[in-house]
Amino acid sequence: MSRQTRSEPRWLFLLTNPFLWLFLMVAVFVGGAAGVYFSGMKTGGDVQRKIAPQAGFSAPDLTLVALDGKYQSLSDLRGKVVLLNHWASWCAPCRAEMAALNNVYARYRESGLVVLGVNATSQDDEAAARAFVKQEGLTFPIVFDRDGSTGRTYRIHSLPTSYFIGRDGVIREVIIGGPMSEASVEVKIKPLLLGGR
Amino acid sequence: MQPVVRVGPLALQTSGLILLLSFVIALEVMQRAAARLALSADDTYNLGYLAAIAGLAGARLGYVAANWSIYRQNLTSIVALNADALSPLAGIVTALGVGYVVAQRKRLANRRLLDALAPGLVVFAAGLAVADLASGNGYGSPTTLPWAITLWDAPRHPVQIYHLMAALAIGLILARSARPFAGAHFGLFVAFYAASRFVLEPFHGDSALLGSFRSVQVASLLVLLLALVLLRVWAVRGAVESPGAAATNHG
Repeated sequence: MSRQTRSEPRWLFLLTNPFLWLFLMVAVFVGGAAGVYFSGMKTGGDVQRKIAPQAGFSAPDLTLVALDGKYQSLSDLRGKVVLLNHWASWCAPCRAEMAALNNVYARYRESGLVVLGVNATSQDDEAAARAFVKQEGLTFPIVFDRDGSTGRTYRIHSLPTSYFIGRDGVIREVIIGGPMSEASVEVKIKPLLLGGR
Repeated sequence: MQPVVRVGPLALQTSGLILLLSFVIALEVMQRAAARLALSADDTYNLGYLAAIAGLAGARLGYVAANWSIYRQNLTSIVALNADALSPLAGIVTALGVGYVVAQRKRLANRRLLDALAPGLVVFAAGLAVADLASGNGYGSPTTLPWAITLWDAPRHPVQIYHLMAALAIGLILARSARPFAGAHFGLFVAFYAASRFVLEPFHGDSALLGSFRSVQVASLLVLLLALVLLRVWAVRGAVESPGAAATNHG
């Protein structure tokens, strides 16, 4: 737009009048403070009672078969901090971050951390996944999403995807992609273990 | 919502791509605005890139410093390519600091540079809204209004679209307004953007709280008041500045 067609905001020069400026400042402050007060009162915890695979919502439950053939539910882990990691054996970033997850799990399992590895079995070869777990010596629980229903529930678009879930079952952070470094995992886990939620 | 774009075997985060694209477009827009304001377009462009790179490095170093007890035991993690291991505040402070030093050296450190920055900030604000729409972040509160969008299993205020419209409206105001004094466009952007964040925050479903108040509203109110102070100071000081007179105005 050319300079000639622009309108000059002369009202800006009203700011040079000290009385008008002071009136504006007071009006903005009082109106703003009232807005902050009243809209703050409307906030509630309703979001956290809803279920969705997103930070701030309760994590959707899952019940899947584990390595030993028994079933594992996420709801059984309520009260613990859970790192839910969706992975596949063919996925290079997934493989690259497994050692970090295993180390963090070994360090904090006594403090109440559970790393739950959800293998995207419907897109993977279960035998290859089992071989990878054995080869890497992974000690945290692994479950198999054989029909892909958990992946759909969690709307997994890419692997790996990790959910950091507090003791209250609410998702605190979602990390899409990887590999996560051991330190960055630990940074996210420690406040959840200490926070009590 | 389309959080991931697949390009062959690669899965790229849509929000990251949109933000990167917004940054590139914002730099172009800022460069053109700088040329109109009789500033060196190339120096302004380079300043933007240097500040961005320094900001990224500062964001990582700030994150590492804040979590040093963990990173000291695993030093290789400091350079890991984790986009989530960043401290936004440290990044912004570093980018501003480096930007200021470079601007001083290139003799760009004046209010006209801030005015050149304003249209770029509009572009980035719009990109931020679109990135949130793609990722599903920054979602709205539940509503029964007919224009609600279904997100996270509930009809919600399309607050990301509200923010996009606010950014476009601010851009339109700036595009149609002359610059009666140096710093006017920057001050107006900050004031209007803070006001829009303040007004739209109650429609958010993910507000962080400061005590029982929405922290974004508290911050927006403070920034709006600061912008009004700056606009007054600059309006009192500034006579109408023309690009030809720019060389003598150190704004």
